Amino acid sequence: MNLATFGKLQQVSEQNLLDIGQAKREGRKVIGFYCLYSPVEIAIAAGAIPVPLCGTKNDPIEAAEKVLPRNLCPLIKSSYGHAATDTCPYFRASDLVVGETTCDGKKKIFELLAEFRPIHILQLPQNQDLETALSFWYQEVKRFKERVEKETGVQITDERLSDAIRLTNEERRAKKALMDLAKEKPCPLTGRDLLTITHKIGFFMDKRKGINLIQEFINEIQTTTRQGGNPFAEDALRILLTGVPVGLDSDKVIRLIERAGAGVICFESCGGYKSVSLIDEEKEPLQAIAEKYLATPCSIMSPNKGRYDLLGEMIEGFLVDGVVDLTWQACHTYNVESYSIGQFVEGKFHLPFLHLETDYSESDTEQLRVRIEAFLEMVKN
Amino acid sequence: MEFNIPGTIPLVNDEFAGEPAKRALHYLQSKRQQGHPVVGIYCGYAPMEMIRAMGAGIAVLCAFSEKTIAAAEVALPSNLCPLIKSSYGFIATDTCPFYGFSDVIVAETTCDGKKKMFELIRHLKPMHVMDLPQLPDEQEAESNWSAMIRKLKAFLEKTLDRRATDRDIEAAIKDTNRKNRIMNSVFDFAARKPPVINWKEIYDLTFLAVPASAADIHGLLQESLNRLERRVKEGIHYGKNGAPRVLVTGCPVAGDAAKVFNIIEQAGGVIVAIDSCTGMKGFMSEIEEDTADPIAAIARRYLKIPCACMTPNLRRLSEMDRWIERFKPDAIVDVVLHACHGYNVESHKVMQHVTEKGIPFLKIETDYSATDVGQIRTRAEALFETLQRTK
Repeated sequence: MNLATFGKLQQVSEQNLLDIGQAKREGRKVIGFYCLYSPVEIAIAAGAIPVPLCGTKNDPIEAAEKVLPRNLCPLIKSSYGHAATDTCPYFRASDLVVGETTCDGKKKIFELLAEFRPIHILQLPQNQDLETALSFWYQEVKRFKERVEKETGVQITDERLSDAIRLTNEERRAKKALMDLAKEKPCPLTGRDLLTITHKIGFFMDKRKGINLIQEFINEIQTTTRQGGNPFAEDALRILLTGVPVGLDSDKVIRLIERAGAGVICFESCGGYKSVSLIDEEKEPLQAIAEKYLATPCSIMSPNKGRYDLLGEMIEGFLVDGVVDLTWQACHTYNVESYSIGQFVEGKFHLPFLHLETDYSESDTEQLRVRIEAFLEMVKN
Repeated sequence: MEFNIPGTIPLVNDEFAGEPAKRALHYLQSKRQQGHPVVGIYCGYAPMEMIRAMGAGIAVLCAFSEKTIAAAEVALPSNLCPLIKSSYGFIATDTCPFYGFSDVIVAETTCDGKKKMFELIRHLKPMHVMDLPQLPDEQEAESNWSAMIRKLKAFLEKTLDRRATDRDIEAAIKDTNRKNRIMNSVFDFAARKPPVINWKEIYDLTFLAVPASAADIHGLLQESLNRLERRVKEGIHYGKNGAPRVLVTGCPVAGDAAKVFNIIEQAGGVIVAIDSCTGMKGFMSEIEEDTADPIAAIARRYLKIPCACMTPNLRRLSEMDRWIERFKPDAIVDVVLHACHGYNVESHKVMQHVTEKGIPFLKIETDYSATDVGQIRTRAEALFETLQRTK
């Protein structure tokens, strides 16, 4: 869509790295994160700047494969490649990089990334059993808090944590409001636009700027659609994209679906609806943080019941016509889970389901296009 | 590759020589006939002392055959480790007798593929999945893993209607230690130059010694030791004098993956050490005895297993140094099963570590099919040729 707010988004994005550089010169610490399981509130509460780290580009993969196996998820290879070739400004700016024991590949590359930056690993339980896993995870979150206190020299009080939680919750509410616009029929924004907004705003040093900009987007989108400027036809197919995280440079599946005339209405993935569940503001803050993050419904959890619940909620809430499940090559957990997800979507909701396994390269684009078009044809009938 | 003296009597001279899984099955059947319940396990992290303390027999479940993989790929992705696909395929086709004998299954969240595969078999038999710590050196690892072993205890007590007292557990710990000591005496014969035991004979013993208690197999192990000593006296050794000594490290190797061992031997190498869960690895550490908390002692021992699913798995490198010292390999072969990310990524570190020590290193990434036999052979031959040249 041709929204004026995109110009502003671009402008703030360009300014952002300069702002981070300035803040660093003034003594603020930068903490880099890879994953939705990372409790960024702890960094914020310490006055540090949390930044997401690069891992969505194909370019650094070749360099990564000098050390890493070829048969590994492109997200992991790209992340490592960016660090090894020093092509991620956010990684370069990070005083501390945070990792979690999510999947096999990530767990093992953090060992190698330790060569470039100080790393803190959070040991993530592999199930969400409240009896034992939550208390283990709470200890891990607490240990991370202590590490950040040491790195920043700031004592993280409950008050500071609560402030940080209110801020990130506000951001989550704003993102959710933006994503929920897509519940309208026809959908008022494209999946590609939604991804552009959330991806770019994710890097903002100043969360407040991001929240305000999202509000501006919401206003502009609503005005535009009132004036009849809708990106989709009335009967455009509504696709839910589930599975692995996608970023701006790893969005070929979204592009292909939308070029074929359908809309990617919502994302059941880390940058999407998974990221907007709130932290309880009434509870003891560290406990509330531990609970929220442990509940993240990622396939690395076993069993991963939350994903089925969230999918069910989204399929109904967003009036979905079909589900596409995206797996990055060699991402075992999403790959294996796809079998059960397919059964769930087809069995319980009687919706067409397509599982795609691909990487960041363009080598299979034509093949994907054919499969996606055939799938959409099936959804239509 | 053979013994220097023809007609050398096999180390375990029974009807199962060279078929270690059948011997283990025979053992399990006898346990069952004696009225013991059976617990199926997949992995070296299963705290076997707790299972034995319950008076249960242990079944190491099938995982090493190419023939069940096609059936597995109906549900599982093809780009997954053959061990996981084969395991699932055995269950899907109902062809693993060990699984058939098992009353309950114990599993661990070791790697991505296993963890997710277990979800697909959880409903078939009572199954308990233990959440394995991934950072073994972290302060809380021991108490977290102890908590998991206690949960396993409660599960087994409830499901099998059995009890294990601290005394039973302590007795099981001592039994394991006794067994491991004898097994290490056996391994010393592989460490000899030239070795007096071959890899098939090592497997004849390890496949039984992993599930069995020392009490059950003490006689057989002692007899094997006596036989090995006799071999030394009689000047019997395995392989040509001066054949390159190979330490194999990495993923478990058995069944159809044992093609790698055969190829190494055909190319002129002799396998003197098997640093994997199907080989000698499980016997390498002892459990502290007579502590105030035997479960914590068990937890500490299992967290010492240097598996690539741990991070950072520095113990693999320090253990490697000890193995090199003990078995004096001329070359190290790292076997990575296809799509096993843990061992695959870690291979780079192992390569750096051993090449710094001046030991030639070969990484073989393979699966259970026979398609890469020629390629592996060429690479093994090239490895041994370099050794010849540098000698």
